[in-house]
Amino acid sequence: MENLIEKTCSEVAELLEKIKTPEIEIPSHKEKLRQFLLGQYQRERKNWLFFSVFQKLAFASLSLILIFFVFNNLIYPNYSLAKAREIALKDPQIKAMIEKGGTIKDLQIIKNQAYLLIQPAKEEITPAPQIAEKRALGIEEEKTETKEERPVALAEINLKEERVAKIEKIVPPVIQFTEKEKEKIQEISQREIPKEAKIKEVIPPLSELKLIKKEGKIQVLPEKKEEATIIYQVDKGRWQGKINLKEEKLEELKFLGEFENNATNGK
Amino acid sequence: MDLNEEKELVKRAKNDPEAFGKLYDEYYSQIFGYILKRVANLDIAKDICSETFLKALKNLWKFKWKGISFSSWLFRIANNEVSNYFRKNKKKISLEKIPEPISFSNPSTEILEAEEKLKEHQDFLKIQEKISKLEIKYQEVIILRFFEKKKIKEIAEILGKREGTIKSLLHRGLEKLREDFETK
Repeated sequence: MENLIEKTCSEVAELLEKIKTPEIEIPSHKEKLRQFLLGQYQRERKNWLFFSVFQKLAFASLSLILIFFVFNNLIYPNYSLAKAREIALKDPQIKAMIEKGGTIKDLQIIKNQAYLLIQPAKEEITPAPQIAEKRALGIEEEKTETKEERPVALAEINLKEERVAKIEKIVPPVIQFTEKEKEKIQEISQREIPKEAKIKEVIPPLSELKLIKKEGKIQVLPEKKEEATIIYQVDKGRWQGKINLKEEKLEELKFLGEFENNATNGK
Repeated sequence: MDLNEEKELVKRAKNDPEAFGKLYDEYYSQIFGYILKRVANLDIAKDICSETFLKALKNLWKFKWKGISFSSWLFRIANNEVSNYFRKNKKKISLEKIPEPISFSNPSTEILEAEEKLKEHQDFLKIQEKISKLEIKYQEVIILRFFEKKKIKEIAEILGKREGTIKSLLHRGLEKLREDFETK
């Protein structure tokens, strides 16, 4: 053993290989253990059968749960959504809305009822008539434009009976600006529009509606857009733009037409 | 016993106690020898060996020929039992509860003889003492490689590790053993 001092790893390995290891057996222990194990065999075999059946059952149950989960959460909802859409598009009222440019905004399913939210086509701003045109048409004074209400349709579809049960019109509420938003609009307008411009109007956007599942019921909730429509006048030209409050910039600028200066209200 | 024979016997052992007995006869000496080389104590080796075969019997229904042979599976159980022993340092099962077999040999004489035989291997006992001071992960690879003469591939199969890991464990284990020699 003393010779082992200062050996290299390969020398240690060589030494280990040369070591004579004991080949000892204890026949009485071998025999005792053999008898004990064979005595236990039948009892253990019953356990094997129980556990293997249990394992198979557990595996089958898990597979069934998985299939049920996949069907219930992936296959059935998609199938039901497609079915609801198909039923809705067969309804003449909904069909007409879609043909007019309406879009399906949201679709939710609760049990055998589908709820479909149809948003009407986006409002197109038509340019106002020019001064010469107005005179020719006999328009002397500028009319105050009132924003047309554009209700959203909520259709309730009975999937079992494959029919549209009810169509309800909902007017999206106008959510007024907060003080902070007003300050922000002011700040962006001062930065983005010409200094000589006079702000005629700041219109809050119509909120967008969305469907929310809550406690087994469908709720229609408004979703506020972070934008404002601003109408301003520079000389006789009137402009409309959208203030993006999130990105803090003026976008979608449109020329609305020419108006008489005396018709302006100022800021 | 070749692999196909072993495979057939394991299959039969799931229904036939005689086949299980044959497997036991085939592997008892190897498993007992391995455990003895790990613990260098006859009483502890007997207990761990009993526990190993009892676990093998309890879990035989689960054994499948997937990437591991039956003998490697037995070595794996034995190895785990030895590691558990070192961690807990207590005996798991006592054969005193097992009824006495019909045997013509005298157990106490046998034990004394076996202890005498073990004492004759002084070189082994000294080096085993040094190995037992190493971390368990080094002990198992060194004993399987040098005392059980297992190939790297077999050790990897028994320990459920990659061959590369076994090689590096062996290298580091030998290095630590060499350092131990140097400090003396």
